[in-house]
Formats: sequence, C-alpha cells, structure tokens
Amino acid sequence: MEPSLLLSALGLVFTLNAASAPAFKEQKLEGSKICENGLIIKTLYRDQSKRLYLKSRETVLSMTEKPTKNTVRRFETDNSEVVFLQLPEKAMILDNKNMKPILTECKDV
Amino acid sequence: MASSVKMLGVGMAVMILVLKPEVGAAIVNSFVTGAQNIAEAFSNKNETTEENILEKNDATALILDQLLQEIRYSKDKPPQIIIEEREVSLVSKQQSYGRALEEQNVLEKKAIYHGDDPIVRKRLNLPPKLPSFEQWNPTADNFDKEFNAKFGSR
Repeated sequence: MEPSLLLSALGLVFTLNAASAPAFKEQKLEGSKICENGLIIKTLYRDQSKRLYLKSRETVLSMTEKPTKNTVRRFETDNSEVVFLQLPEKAMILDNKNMKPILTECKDV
Repeated sequence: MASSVKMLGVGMAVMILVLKPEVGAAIVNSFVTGAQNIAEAFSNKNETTEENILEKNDATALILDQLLQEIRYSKDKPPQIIIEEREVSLVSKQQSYGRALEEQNVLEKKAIYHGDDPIVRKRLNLPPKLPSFEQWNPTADNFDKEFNAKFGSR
C-alpha cells in the first residue's frame, strides 16, 4: 500500500472517531449544578432507597426514581408535582402538571 | 476412511442427479429456499432492532421537544418561587410518610418479615426499609451536613 493512501486511511479513521465521540461532558447525578439562570442546586442520591434529594436555596425536595425506557433518569416528588430529569448532557426540573420547566440547563459545577 | 465416505457421498449425489434430475432439482430448491428464509430472518431481526432504537430515540426526542417548547414560557416566575409553591408543607409530608409506613407494614405482614436485611428483603420482593422521617425527608441543615461530608463545602 502506498504511504499516502495509508495516511489518508488513518486520517479517515481518526475523523470518524472524533465525529462519533459525544460533544458534551457527561453529567453526574450527584453534586452541585449551576442552572441556566445562575441558580445553584445540589443533589444527593441514595442508591439503596432510589431516592434523590435536591436542595435549592433553603428548600429540599425528596424524590423517588421512576423507571424509564431510555437513558434519561426520572425522579418525582412524593406528590408527583415536581420532576427532575437527568439527561446525559444536562439536568432539568419540571412542573409535572404541565411539563413546564422550572429550571433548565443544569450542569455540573 | 473419511475420504472414502466423502467419495461415496459425492458418487451418490452424482448418481441421483443423473438418474433422477427432478430429485436433484428438489434438493437444490430446498437449499435455495432455506438460504432465503435465513436471509429474511436476519433482515427482519435487523429491522426490529432499528425500530426499537428509533422508538427509544423518539421517546427522548419527544421529552426534549416538550421541554424546548415550554422553555419560552418559563420566564414569568422566578424558579425558586415555583419550587417553593410545589413544595408540600411539613404536615402533608408527615402524612405521606405515614402512608408509606402503612404500605410497608402491609407488605411486611404478607411476607412475614419485618427485618431490614437488604438481601432477604430483595428475595421476598419487599422494597428497602423506610429510613427515619428525618432521613426520608431531610431538612436543609441535614442535607448540608451529608452533602459536605460527601463533596466538601463547594
């Protein structure tokens, strides 16, 4: 095989690899997150009870994990009024009544 | 030994094809049909997998679409007020904790097990034992203590 052909093949492989890699940083479920409007939220997860605790200023929400069929992790408060969604690239808090976002674009600090 | 068996097999096949061409054609036909069926089965399997992936992607896209559409209307109220509005009072939290305790008692009574061994509970299809109310619904102070212990005060 000619060296130039080999080099272009290698270049193609690298390009394909770079294209397939996610362009965002995988977000963690626990820790501090800063949201779109600058509000900082903190989350703690208890694996054994599948409960997530979310603190925003002086309010703590306790939420239970609900099963989903995709990679999105969904948590609901006990009255199912507030939903926390953990996507691979960000997290968000929604009003479950109308699916209206309360906080969006929450990313790890 | 193996080669003589092979030769015998080939000889018989040639004899059948020469003497009974219709038998040979039937054998060839059955091979072709079998190969077609296998190919179809493979293509169906691939289609099903693709459909599943598409369905999953559609579900995620639907959630994201809903979110993006609603983001425009999220500016009217500060998020903290909405969270506080949605936050239930301490009394109703105690009520829902009481209900969860009752449900746990019913299940434990059925399973004849009231212990907190996670392995036994899993085997008996019981949910994890409810923690104390303070742990189940931690206050801001408790939360901060646990959070700082895990992540530091950041």
